Amino acid sequence: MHILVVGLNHKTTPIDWRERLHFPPHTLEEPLEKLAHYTDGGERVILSTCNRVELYGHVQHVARGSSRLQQFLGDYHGIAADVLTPYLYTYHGEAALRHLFRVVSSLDSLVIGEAQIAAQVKEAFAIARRAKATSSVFSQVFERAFAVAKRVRTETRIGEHAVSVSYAAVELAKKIFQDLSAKTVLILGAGEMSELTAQHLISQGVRHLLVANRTLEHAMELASRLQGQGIALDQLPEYLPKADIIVSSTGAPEPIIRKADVQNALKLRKNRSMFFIDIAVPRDIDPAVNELDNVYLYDIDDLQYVVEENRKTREREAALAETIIAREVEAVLQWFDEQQVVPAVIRLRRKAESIRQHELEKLFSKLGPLADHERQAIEAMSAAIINKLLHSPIVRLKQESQAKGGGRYLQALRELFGLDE
Amino acid sequence: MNVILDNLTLFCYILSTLFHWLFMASRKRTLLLYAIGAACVGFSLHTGYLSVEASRVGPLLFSEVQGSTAFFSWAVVLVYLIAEAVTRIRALGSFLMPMALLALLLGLALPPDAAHFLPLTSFWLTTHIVLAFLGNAAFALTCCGGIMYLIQDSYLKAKQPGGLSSRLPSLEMLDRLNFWALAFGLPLLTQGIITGAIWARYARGSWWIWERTTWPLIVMWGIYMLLFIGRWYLGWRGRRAAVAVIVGFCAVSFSYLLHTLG
Repeated sequence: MHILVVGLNHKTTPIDWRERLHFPPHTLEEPLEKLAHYTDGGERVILSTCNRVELYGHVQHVARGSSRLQQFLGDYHGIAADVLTPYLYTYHGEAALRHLFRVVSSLDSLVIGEAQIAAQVKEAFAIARRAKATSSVFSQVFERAFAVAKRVRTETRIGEHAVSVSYAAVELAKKIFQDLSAKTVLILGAGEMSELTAQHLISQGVRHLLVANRTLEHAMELASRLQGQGIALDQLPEYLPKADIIVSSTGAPEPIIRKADVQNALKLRKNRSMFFIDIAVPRDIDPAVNELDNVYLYDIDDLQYVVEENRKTREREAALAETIIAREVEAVLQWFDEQQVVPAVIRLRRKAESIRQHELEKLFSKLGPLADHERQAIEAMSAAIINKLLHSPIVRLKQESQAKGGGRYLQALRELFGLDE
Repeated sequence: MNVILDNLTLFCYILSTLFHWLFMASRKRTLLLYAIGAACVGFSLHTGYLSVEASRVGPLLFSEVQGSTAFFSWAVVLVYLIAEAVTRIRALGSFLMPMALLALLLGLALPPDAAHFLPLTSFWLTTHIVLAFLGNAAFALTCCGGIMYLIQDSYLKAKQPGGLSSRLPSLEMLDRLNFWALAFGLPLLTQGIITGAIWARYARGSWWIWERTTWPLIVMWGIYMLLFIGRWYLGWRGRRAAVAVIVGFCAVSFSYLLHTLG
């Protein structure tokens, strides 16, 4: 039996094809049921996210299995299966395991290190298990994959450091302020970007929110949505000293906060730190503000630079994650080999026993009536030959299966004794 | 016996410093545990060493060069272990342990005193010395906090919040650390000066005697009083406060060296 994956992702397939081949996650039971006919009842999992569609199957033959999985993908979505060929990748055995481990560990993601994918795979596996589409092999493999993902997350820094502008802003705020819940955030301009950043800040515990806008109604509207307080833009000098974090994204052609304004505010707030996030173009806040002590000003370029650096860090950490995965894949393969040793030994003994019984019958019918002690002597002798002959191959196989590359012995045993026939 | 204790202490502090730095570079938690463990073992040995010495020579040991640097080093490690447990700022050890190590090495490098000790033991003298040194160590903590603040500040100002920046706590936390170290250190130092005066009155009949340690003590008290007032009333915080505590600590160290060597 082989583990097989046939799938497509954001790298191989444009969005319109991914949309057409998508499986809605809440109705996976039905395709899982249908997929059983294509895997000949073998274990199966369907993973479908916005960036990937993957079919995992436990099949008897690789070539037949992969073409059947591709066939299913086409049949289910009403597309000729050949059309899909250029978009699909197929892995089996070791490569399939590595692929699964890389996917769960978010090494294969659009944004490397994003946390969602592990949860999505867990969900896909849980649905398959509930639908009784999985059994012992996939249980072991997927549980292992989740453990690997956890290991990668804790042992590398792949998930650290924000890779979006608004998260980067929140991370910076946490480097300046210890506890965001006691801080006041001032939103300038009721744009989409400032709302997004504000929402991230709120999710980090910010409770005091001020929204200022040229038109007071818009300020009030956004303020009520974010449970903050709306103010008019000309009240700014009055409120600026109260704000610890200022997020600005107005459409003003000229800077609306100047160095002198911030200097005054600092005096009133006894030099407590201020963090300005200027995501407007043209900029809302005079760059000279950054020269003031205890004031930190980041414009959109600065934030994008931070994001870019973080992305590079993640890529460096990904290399570390790959070595962890390589080791884990090896461990699983070895575990598989060990698992297959016992059934192979049983089959070998059964085969030997059936040959012995067959030959005994032939012999006894040829010899005619025999005394009991003669019969017993012949039976004992034939059993002893078989046991002694099989003893050392079996011991050797068990020993080797615990060493690296022990799978070759198993394979040889099967072929030499024709165990799979 | 004592030489062995002293050398073992030195060895532990070197280990602890190295482990702290390795931890900062790799962020493996086990390294931090080793670093704290080495600091704890070193501190126990150090305590043993100092109490053996003090019972032999008397508390004035600590006004002599090697005694005072060794005791300062001991107080810094004590303050570090307390601050580590209270604040959980993992970067602290990387700054404070080298400082303790440096003080210990300085005592070995400086020429020893020819001064002969008076076999004096006095409650007031001991209290004076312990309080003054704890105050001093608290200021060593503010100095390290200040250095961390300036590093973090420069990363954030340069808009490159990677590298060392992600190993340091937030600016607000560091600023708070500076304030609390100051708020604990100043009363300790003040009481140290008062008990010193009481001892001098009993022992020598005058409230004020000019010892080698008197000047640095007065300088230190003046500087930190000024800092405290500046913070409390004038809004000296953040970067300026960080610079001030570093300059203050350097001034005190300098005046100590000046009086020791001069």
